[in-house]
Amino acid sequence: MENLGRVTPATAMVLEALLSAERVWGLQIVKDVGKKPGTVYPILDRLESAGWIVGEWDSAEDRKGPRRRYYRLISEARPLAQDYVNVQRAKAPASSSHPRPAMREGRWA
Amino acid sequence: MSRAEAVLMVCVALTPERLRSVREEQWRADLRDGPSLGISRSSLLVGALCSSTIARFHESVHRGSQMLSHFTRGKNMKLALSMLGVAVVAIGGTAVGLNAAQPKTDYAAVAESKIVAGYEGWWNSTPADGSGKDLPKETVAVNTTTGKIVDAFNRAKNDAHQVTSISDVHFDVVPDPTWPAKAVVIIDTATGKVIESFPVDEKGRPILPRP
Repeated sequence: MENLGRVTPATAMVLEALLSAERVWGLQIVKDVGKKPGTVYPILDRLESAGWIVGEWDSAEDRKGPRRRYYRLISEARPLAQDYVNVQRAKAPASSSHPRPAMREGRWA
Repeated sequence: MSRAEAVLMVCVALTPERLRSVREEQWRADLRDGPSLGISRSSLLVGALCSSTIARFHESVHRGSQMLSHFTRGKNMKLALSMLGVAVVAIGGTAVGLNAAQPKTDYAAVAESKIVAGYEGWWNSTPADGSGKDLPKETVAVNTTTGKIVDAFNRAKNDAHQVTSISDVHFDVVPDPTWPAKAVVIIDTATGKVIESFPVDEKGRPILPRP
């Protein structure tokens, strides 16, 4: 597992999404993080090539066609990922009590 | 061949060979399932393009450094010249591929994908202790200008790390004349009552009070 070096807020958000479950569907991470796939995909690639996460295929047999790609944080990476997330949370300003738009990809569903 | 298929093929071609089949299947699954999560196909294609271009760049740098070490040790001049030729072809191919892909990207759709896709507030938040027992189990957000549901939230699905689609919630909207105009109302589906409302602009963005 390689050192990640500089971790951006977006990377910390991806790590937080990965920490939320044993393994997370790649598109679910895009949705949770609320960033564009153009931001999230390269981060996942970087984490995978650095050995922090492992990509796995969806095992659901009832879904036809191409398989979904899931990602799992390796156990050694979890405490480090949590540290990065905590550091970013400490830096983030307190959230507003006002309603705010979720600026996610997509349109009105 | 559709425009999306053409862009996808460019992305696959740019991807290092060892990752090609994995990424192609992954991107095809994402293109199939993304719209159901509110993620547009155009943004997914841009994402695949970014991912493949960066991967190709890293691979080229890695290969280049390996070849350079051979050259600096005086091993093979032919190898170095071949490397230079391959680099020129790769960069040219990447530029041509990107040039071919860029105009085909649906910029209008990309811009449209930046539209507000939902709302976050106390009703769909999760307290620090993880317990949401005093918060609504399910809500819908209705734009009072259109009378349509524009967002939905189900706490059980959220707790299971799943996204709530509007189609997941069965709630018939009955517009109420007492609702504020040009606003979004949050309705608890269990009671049908408005629990929150806030004004929004024509694009659905909340108009927040001045501090």
